[in-house]
Amino acid sequence: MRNLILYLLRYGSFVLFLFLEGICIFMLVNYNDSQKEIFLNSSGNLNGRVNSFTHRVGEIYGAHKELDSLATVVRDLRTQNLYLISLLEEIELTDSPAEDTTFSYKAARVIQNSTVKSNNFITINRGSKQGVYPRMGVVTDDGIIGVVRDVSNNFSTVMSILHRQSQVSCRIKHAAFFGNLKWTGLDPTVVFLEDIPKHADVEVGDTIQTSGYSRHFPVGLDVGKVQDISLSQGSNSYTIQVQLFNDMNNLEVVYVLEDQQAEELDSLLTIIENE
Amino acid sequence: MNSNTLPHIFRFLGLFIAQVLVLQNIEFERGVLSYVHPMIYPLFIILMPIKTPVPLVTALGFAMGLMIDYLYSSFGMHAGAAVFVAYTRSFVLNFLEPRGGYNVSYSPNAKRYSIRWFLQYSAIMLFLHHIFYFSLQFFAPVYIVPILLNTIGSMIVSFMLVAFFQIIFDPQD
Repeated sequence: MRNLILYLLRYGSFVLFLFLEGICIFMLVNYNDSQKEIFLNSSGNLNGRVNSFTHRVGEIYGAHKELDSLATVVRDLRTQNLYLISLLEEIELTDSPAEDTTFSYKAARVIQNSTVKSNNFITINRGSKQGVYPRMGVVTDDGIIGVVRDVSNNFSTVMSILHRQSQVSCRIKHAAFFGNLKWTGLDPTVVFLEDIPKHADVEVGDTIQTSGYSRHFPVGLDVGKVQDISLSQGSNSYTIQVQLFNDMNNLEVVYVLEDQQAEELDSLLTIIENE
Repeated sequence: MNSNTLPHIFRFLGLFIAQVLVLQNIEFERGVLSYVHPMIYPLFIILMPIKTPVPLVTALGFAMGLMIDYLYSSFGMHAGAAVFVAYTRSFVLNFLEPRGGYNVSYSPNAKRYSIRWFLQYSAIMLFLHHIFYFSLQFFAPVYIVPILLNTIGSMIVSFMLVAFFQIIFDPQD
């Protein structure tokens, strides 16, 4: 109140001026026809402009609200999408690629992979808690991957077939001649099958599969096809160049093979050893 | 009320009567003279003593304007213009302040200062009054040309009247 009085004392004449001019303008537009008309017209005009402006502001505000609701929808859809992806993963991880009662399959996801070293390892996201143990074979739908070497609670390292100490017993599909599958450390799409006898009937294009003698893998998993056959000087066996069916650079879901009959076979073999 | 106030009251009434009885009848239908609407009553505001408080000048201007509006039946126009010119008088006086400053007890007239100074001052005041008055009369920016023509036409006559008034009556303080 005191401030108001001080303000009036200081700016009183200006306030009075505005007040009296206000009265004058009021009288002017109320008691004079032409001014009244102009005033009403222009105020109507102004009204229209203000209305359209507020309308636009409302539109913009509405658009913002719409954006907000759209953002909510997008967020919900994303959540749903993530949920569906996890469901799909579960489905992928529980499918078994083959029906072999001797072996059971545990799906796993590759979380680390390499093919460029001379001794390559793969890491998968299943470990001892999920029943993965060393010396289990690892395969995909297309071919073999390697053998589990070390396990932790939830992860395992797999010695890839692209490892120079890896040896898997394989055979030619139609003839049952068997040899060892090895890798020389160069091309990750090519491995070598050694010790196939010279008299074996092998041609380029023949399919190579597991023989079952390596107990990590069941019999008859297709591995690759013959690309080249060579016979070194003075040797009795072919060295067969095998093109792998699976792409070791492109692994996602793999299956760990558990031999259900391993204990039975082990106990049988120990009888022989003990004699 | 002292003897200084009396001439101002008489001037107030005299100018009012001159405006509504004489100048109100100067109306031409067409031609250049149709722009002439002389107004002498702002002279009352022009000649008020310099020390008069601005609110009082403004209020008196409003009263004079209202009275003239009543007889012109143009409510608000003269009052608005008179209030405007009464309020802006202090700024005009500040702007025109002579080297020696004002003797604030007296009116800003030709006797106290020079006839040249007085004509300059009253010309500015009349111009402000007239342009504000015609702006209120036409009341829209599109009429800027008639507003200016009327202002100039009326100002010439009003200014001559003010000058005659100064020469004939030679108003004292």
